Parts: sequence; structure tokens; C-alpha cells
Amino acid sequence: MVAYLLRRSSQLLLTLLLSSIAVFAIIYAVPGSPELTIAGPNATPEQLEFVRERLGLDKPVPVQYLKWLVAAVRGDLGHSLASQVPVTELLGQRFPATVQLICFTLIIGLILALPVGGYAAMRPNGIVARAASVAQIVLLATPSFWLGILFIWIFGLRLGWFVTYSDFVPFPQDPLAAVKSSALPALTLGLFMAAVLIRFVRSAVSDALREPFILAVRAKGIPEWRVVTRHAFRNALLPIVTVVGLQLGAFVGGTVVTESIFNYPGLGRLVFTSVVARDYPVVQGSLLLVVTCFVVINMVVDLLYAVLDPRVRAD
Amino acid sequence: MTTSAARPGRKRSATGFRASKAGIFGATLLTLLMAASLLAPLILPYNPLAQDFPALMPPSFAHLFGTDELGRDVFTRVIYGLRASMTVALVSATLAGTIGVLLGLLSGYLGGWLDAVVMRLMDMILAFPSTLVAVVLVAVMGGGITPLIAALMVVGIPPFARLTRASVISIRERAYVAAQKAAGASNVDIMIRTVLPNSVGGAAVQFVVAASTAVLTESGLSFLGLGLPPPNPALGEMLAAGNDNLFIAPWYPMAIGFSITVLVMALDALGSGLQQQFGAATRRTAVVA
Amino acid sequence: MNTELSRRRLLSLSALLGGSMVAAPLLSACSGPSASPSGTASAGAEKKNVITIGSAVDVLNFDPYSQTTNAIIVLRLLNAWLLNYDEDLKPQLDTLKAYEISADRTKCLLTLRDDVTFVTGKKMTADDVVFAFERARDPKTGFNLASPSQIIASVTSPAANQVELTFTGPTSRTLIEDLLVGQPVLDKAGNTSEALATASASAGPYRVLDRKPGQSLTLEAVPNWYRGDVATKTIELRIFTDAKALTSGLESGALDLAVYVPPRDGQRLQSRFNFLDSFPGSATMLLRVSTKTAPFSDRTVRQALWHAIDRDRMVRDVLFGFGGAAALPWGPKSPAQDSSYTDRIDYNLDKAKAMLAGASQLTGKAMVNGSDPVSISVMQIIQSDLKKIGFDLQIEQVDAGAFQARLVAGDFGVVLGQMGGGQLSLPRITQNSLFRLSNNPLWPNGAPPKAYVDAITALTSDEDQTKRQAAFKQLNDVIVEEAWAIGTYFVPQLYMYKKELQNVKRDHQNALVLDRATF
Repeated sequence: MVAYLLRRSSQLLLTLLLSSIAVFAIIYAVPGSPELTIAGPNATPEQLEFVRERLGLDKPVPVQYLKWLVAAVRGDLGHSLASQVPVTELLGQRFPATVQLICFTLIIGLILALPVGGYAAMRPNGIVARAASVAQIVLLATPSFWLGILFIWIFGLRLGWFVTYSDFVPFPQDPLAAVKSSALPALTLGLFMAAVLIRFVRSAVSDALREPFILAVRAKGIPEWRVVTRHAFRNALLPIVTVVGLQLGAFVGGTVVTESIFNYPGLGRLVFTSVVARDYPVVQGSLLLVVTCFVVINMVVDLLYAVLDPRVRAD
Repeated sequence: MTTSAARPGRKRSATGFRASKAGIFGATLLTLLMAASLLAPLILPYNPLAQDFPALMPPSFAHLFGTDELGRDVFTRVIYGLRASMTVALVSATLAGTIGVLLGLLSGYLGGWLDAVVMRLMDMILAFPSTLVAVVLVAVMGGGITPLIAALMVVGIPPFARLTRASVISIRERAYVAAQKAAGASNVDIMIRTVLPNSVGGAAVQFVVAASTAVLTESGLSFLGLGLPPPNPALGEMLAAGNDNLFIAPWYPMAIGFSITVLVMALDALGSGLQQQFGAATRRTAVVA
Repeated sequence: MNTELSRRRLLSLSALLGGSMVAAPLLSACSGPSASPSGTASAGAEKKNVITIGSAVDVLNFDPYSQTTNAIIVLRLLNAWLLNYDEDLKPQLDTLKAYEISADRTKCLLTLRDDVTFVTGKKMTADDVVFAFERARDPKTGFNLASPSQIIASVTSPAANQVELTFTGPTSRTLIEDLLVGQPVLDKAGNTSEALATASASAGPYRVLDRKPGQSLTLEAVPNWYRGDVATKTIELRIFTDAKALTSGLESGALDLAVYVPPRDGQRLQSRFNFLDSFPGSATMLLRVSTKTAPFSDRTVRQALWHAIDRDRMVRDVLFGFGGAAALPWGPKSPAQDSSYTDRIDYNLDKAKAMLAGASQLTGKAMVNGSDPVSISVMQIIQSDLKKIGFDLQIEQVDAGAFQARLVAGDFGVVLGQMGGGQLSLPRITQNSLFRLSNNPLWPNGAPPKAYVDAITALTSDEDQTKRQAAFKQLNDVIVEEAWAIGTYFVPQLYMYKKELQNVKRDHQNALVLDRATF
């Protein structure tokens, strides 16, 4: 067990290191540079040179990378070139926002997917199952940012139920405001997640229902719905958790377009705006955070598998 | 020669593509869309670039989807946009498939350090959300169609590589492969003759998945202003322009979003059918949000 | 049994996982950002003392020397100046008690107020003003103030509350006043671009309370401000990346004032909100043509472009009636404005076609910024018109970072670039890269036409009205004939705000002036 953990952790560190090099190399290959944002569009070559020096951008790229690496190991990810704010502070503002949005998304996704998927597994030819299939096909084909626009139009404009832009209000601070301000993006992403999950829930529960022990449970005279919820679901949880984990990993930073539509201050949007502004330290820091989350979540999911299913441990 | 019995992955039963309602539906719809976009110059009355009409008109018989902010017919632009999206998607999926399958073949068959390096590389690409990878790559390479295709290709390679490699690994230890080796066949020979045909099924399904993901990713990029240059109709960019006009012309973004959905649905349905034919288990779970 | 046990463990592990997934954000959110100020709360009495402003551009630093479009929003809220202009461009005293220009116009004596205190706590002295001028004069640190400050030869402090400027030669009066209006006063200790990245150091009506880059900026009124009590205690600036989200915020009532509302929404909201249009001539959109790139190295091709721009349609269809058509770069009230040029620069595709007849090639490249929908639309209109007369203009769309880099280097065929300073005295236009007298990115060897340089030099020093008129004419002639800077429209930089909000003003640079604004 410990060996397994060590092995996976070292893999994680290696991936992080390689990713940081790759990101650094690519970002510096991008034409355009941050000193323009600071010095303005009418800057003379001398002014640009001066700002470059001040920002330490005149040193060769590998030197800059090493400086960054040494500082990063100590927990200092540098400062935003545009606003001078420490990158860790910026990430500290955006990360909870993304996490909270993901949680709301997850809740909505599960509330929709679990009952519908379970019922569809119970009655595979029933109307719920068919409707779920169709809904899923349509939802998976819909660009999620269009869904967002649709919701803004319907719920924000026509019905006026929600403000059409979103904000991050920490849940512990003001639960009602937090829910209201993230409702639309969470609904948009949640529907998408539900569409992906329903299939898995349905097949996992179906598989579980075919297990021999179900026969024994049914023979005891337990009503069908209980068979499904109490017994089949327990066994189906593992594959479901796996898929949920993978989705979560992808959601951290992968929702950049949806965040742009709703103006939500998440991690994905931070990467996008800093790439456009050529704010290298922020790009580096935020991309690495995204990668870390993804890899860590994957690791946790794999771990769960390894803990619960000894056959997998011989990786 | 291999006999059909020793070629796993091909189900020759009545549950193949032809029995898949989704597959038929997808193939038909896709053919219709392709035909429409190829024949567009002949059958559509308007030029997609002609700014001849009053701006932002609602749908009417003359203009099925209304007009855009510069007075161009939206329906015409949508059809041309579908053509652009399909081209970008199919080209990038083909490139991704070719390179990915090749990498998977080499990696799975030869193993060793090559395998380790390739898989690490694939892991790295997969660790980043595809939209972000595309954003960074397009920023590096500048705007235009080439960087766009390149970016979509890069994020499309890992699934091909992985599934080909898995298929290769499962096959390479089989008896008939050992027999061929004993008979003196070279590695390349074996890879091409035996291993490759067995991976085709999964690759075919993945191809359609990659194409439909590419359509969504390209729309997302165009929406962010990183897609095809104006005035070429590009669905994502039109959606962004439509979005700007949401308050005064809501039909505009609705029509475009609907069109993107239809295209992706056609591709997904086709993929479903292929899946039933080849029994592969790939599904698009990558989030393009 | 084994299965029983593992199922129980599975259940408890899932519960743990689920619980931690829910608990994690709660815990992290607890240690996360401090209470987000009144964006969501809206008690009646509280609201009156807060003005919530929405902007689609972030304020990146507090350096008034930087003066990028971003900084304009808080420029007058955080900083104090020597002079200000009123709506008629007449100078009004700000931190100066008096100023005196010598008869030969080579010197200017400034007498400072003695009751100005910086937000740092220190009182303003002549030392701070001298330092402020010196920083402006240094090309490396002066940023946007460097170019206009080149007319200063030296700065001294002859007496405790006095500063004397000596110019390089006789300088026109309007140019001197422009200089004083454009010069901010800051505490010497905090007047470097590094320090000003995170803290302001001037004497404006507000000071910075809290800042979240990319999200919000909170300002509070300075007590005992030297110009009188500030009407509203708190200003909260919220940053939006999406212009639509900004407009929704205004419409829904969450914002009191929105900065740079897109013209399309401005038209729609005109009846429900008050609005301030930009100062005429303060922001002009020019089609910049690089004379280094074919086929635009040919003068006739460039001149043809004057006639291929349908300015009226742009104002009508893209700007929804706001702003206005602009052929020359000057504001409508500028002394250089001259209606006799109308025929030479009218929209006439036949004329343009005739002029393109001798061109070396009938294709060219245009560059647009992917995040600016207005210029994308305008460029497509130009493209479509040129196509009608057989010229193929190809549009290259790049992201904002690449756009800036290539703009500064002159690496394009044509581009739509905004220019500032067109409302001030003419030599001020040289602060824009395309009108620079040397190192000009649009000309080979960085040298614009001699006639242009001469005209600007004359206007810098001459006060004689006849000579100035002649210089205006020379300037207009060379700009029309050499055609590297073609006027398209005046940029409407709209401020829209609730009708209950009173005394919202903006100055000649479109910086918000809110010290008397109140509900």
C-alpha cells in the first residue's frame, strides 16, 4: 500500500515537473509580451526595454525557468506581471470559486443522474429510460456554452429569476446569495455532467442488478425499489465514483468558455485572461494548479479502486 | 492469411451497424449536411459574405434564420459554417487518428523505453483540459486555420494512441502472432498485417468521437476569438456575435447553437452505430465547456 | 463475510469521499477571500453612500503616468493635478494657486497650494512637483507623459512653494497649458512605477481600500480633501470580462454606473439611464496604414482608402448612432478642423477604384484584435466595400497580446487603432506611435514626411495666428496626401448610469469625475 502510494506520488511529481517545463517553453514562444500591457500601446522601444528589465524578462529563458523553479519549490510562485499581486494570492481567490462551482455542479448532476439512471436501469424499456436516452444525446451534443446563453436568455432575461452574471460568494458567508449567484452556471454544467453520468449510472446499476446476490435479496421478498436503491446501488457506486472523479478532474480549468459567458471568476478564465495578457507567472501557476488537481483526483480515484479491489493493486 | 474466426473485434451478427437506429440516423443526417454544404453555392440564393440586407432582422421566408449584425443572411452563413466546421473536424481527426494509431502501434508493440516516453507524453497532454491546451497552442502559433487544426490534432492524439496500444498489447501475446514470428515475418509485417486490422474498429469509433469533440472545441475557441479569421463564417464566432446581440436579436444565437448541436448529434449518432458494429467502448467524456 | 465487509468499507469510504468533497470547499472558502463588499447586499440607507461601478477593463496599476485605457477609470478618482480643463478646454486651477507664463513663452512659474496632503500622509511641497516633472521627462520612466514633456529643458524650485519650468524654446501657450493639465502630483517617495503598481500616492478624492485583480477594487473617500467634502463615501469597481454581463449588471440594478457600455446596448438603454458620451475628439479611430508593406507603400493606393471607408454606415450600423464620422484626426472643435477637405476624403467607391488601377497588387492584409467586436465589424465593412471594387483585403485575427506587439512594431498592412489627444493642441498627437516624429513604426527608417515634422515643430513654438493657420493647413495637407493615418470615426466611450445618481461628470480625457456625485 505504501509502496503503491510512493510510486504514484513520484509519478505525480514527474508529471508536474515535465508539465512545468512544457508550459514555460510554450508560453515564452508566444508572440507578444507583458511589458506592452504595462507600458501602453504608445510605448517607445526604450520604455519597453526598461520594463522588460524591471520584470526580469531580459534574462535567457532557461535561467528564468530555474529561478521560477527554485522559488516554486519554496512555495513562491512569483508575482503577476500585470498587477504585481502574488500568484498564490490570485490562485487563492480563484480556486475556492472553482471548487464551489464544481460542488454545486456535482450536486445538481447527481440529483439528476442517480434517480433517473437508477430508474432507467430498473425499467430499461420504460418511458423514463427512453426519454433519458434522448435527453442525453441532445445534451451531449449541445455546446455547454450555448446552453449557458440559453439559460441566460430564459431565466435571466425572460423570467428575470436570476441576475445574468455570476459571482463568487463563499457559501459559509451567505448561503442564499451563493446559491443564487452561481445557479445558472451550475445548472448549465450540472446538466452536462448529468448527461454524462446517466449512462454510467444506468449501466453500473444494470450490471449490479445482474449479480447473483440480487436473486437472494429478491427472494427475501424485499420490494424492487429497495433492491435497487439499497443493494444494487452499493455495488454500482464504485464505477460511478470513478466517472465522477474523472469528470471533476476535467472540470477544474476546463470550463473556461462557460465561465466567460457568466463572468464567473474561476480558474479556467484566469488561465485564458493571463494567456491573452502574456502574464507568464500567472499562466504558469494556474496551469500547474489545474494539472495538479487533475492528476491528484485521478490518483485518488485509482487509490479507491486499489483499496477496494485487491486485483488492481498489481499495477 | 488470417481467418475471420481469429479476428476479434468484428461482430458479424444482426446487431451490427445496420441494426443501429442511431447509426442510420447519424449517417443519413451527416450525408444530408455534407451534401447541403457542398452544394451550397448552387442551391442557396445568397452569398454568405454579401452585406446587402438590413441588419438583425428576425426569421422570415426570405431569411430563414434572419440576418446578422452586418446584414448578411444567417442561414447561408450557417451552412457555410457547417462546411468549415466539418472540414476542420475531419481533417484534425484524420491527422490525430493517423499519428495516434501509429504511436499506439509502435508503443504497444515495441514496448520498452519508447512505450514509457510516449505514454508519459500522452499523459501530459491529457492532464490539461483540451480547451486550455487549444487556447495556448493557438496563441503560440497565431490565428488562422492551420494553428486551429494543429491544436485540435494535438488534443485528439492521446485517445487514439491509448486505445490502439491497449488493443495491440492484448493481441501481441496471442498464438497466431507468435506463429507468424516463428515463420520469420518481420515486426513491421506483423504490425501491419495482423495487429493493425484488429484495432481499426476502435479507431473508427474514436475517429467520429474525435471529430465531434473537434467541432465543439473549435466552436469554443472561435467563441473566444481564437478561431477562423473573419469574414469566413465560423459557427463559434457567429455564436459569439450572436451572443453579443442576445438582448436585441435572440433568434440569432439560438439558430447557431441549434445548428452546432445538430452537427454534433449527427456525428455522435454515427459513432453510436459504429460502436454497435465494432463493439468498442470509447465514449466522449472529455469536457468541452 | 468478505463481501459484506468490503461493501461496508466501500460505503464508509464513499461517505468519507463525499463528505470531504463537500467539506473541502467550505473549509477553503472559509479561509478564502474576505467578505465581498456590497454587490449583493442592498439595504436602502447603506446604498446611498456607495456607488457601484462596472467596467469591462481591469485597473492594472495606480500609475497616472501609465494612462492606458484601463487606468482612465480611476485616474481622476485617485490623483490630483496641477490644472484641469473644463468642457470648453479652459484651464481651471487644481493644486496650483496660480501660474504665470513669461512674455517670451520660455518659462512658466507655478505657485502651489499649501493645503494639499497626499494619501501617504505627507503634505505636498515643491520637491514633489519637481520630482514629478523629472520622472515625466525621463523617457524610460515617463511612459505616456514622456513625449509631451520633452518641451521642458529644466525644472527648478526658486522658492518654497514655487516651481519654475524652463522650456527648450518659445512654446505655444496651449501646449504649456496642456502640459500642466496633464501633469499629476504625487508624493515623491511613492512616485515610481514599481510602487504605484500596488499603491496610489497622490491626492485625489478617493484612496484604495481593497483590491482583487480581475475582480474588484474598492475605494473610500479621503477625509479633509483639499477641494471640499467628497459627496459619496465608497466607490466599488467591479470587473467584467464580458460586455454583456456588464450591461446585464446595469439593467438589473446591481450596478449604478457602467463604463464603456457597447453602443448597441447604449442605444437600447438610452431611455432608462443617463449617459455621458466621450469628449469630442478625445478618442478617434484611425485606419493606420503601414507604408512599409505592399501594396500600401504606393501613395495612390493609400489615398484610395480615404474613399473606400463608408463612415456613415459604420456610425449607423456598428456604433448605433453614437460617436460620429471622423475624417481628420482632430475633434470637431479643434482649430485645425477644416471642412474644405470634405470632397478630398468623401466615400466614393468609383474614385477609389480609379485610384487603385495602377496598384502593384490588388491584395493586402488587415489585422484585427480578436477581443474587439466593434473593430472586427468595421474591418469587415471595409473588406466588403474593397471587394466590390476588386481589392482583396484579407483579415488576420490575432489575440490581444499579439495584436499589441505587432501594432507597436508596425507589422501589419492596415489596422484600426484608436488615438488619443486629438482634442488637445496638435503637437500632443505625437504621443501616439503613428504620429511620432521619429521611430515611427509606420514609415521606413521611422521617419514620417518632412512636411509633417515641420508643421508640428511650427505649432510647438509659434503663437502667431497667421503662422499657426498656415501650419494647420500644411498638417492637413500632408496627412491627406500621404494617407498613413485615415480617420474613420470618433469612438463613443459611453458611461451609463442610474437616473437617481447626480453630478456624474467626466473630464476632457473621459476620466470619471465623481467627487460631487451622489444619489
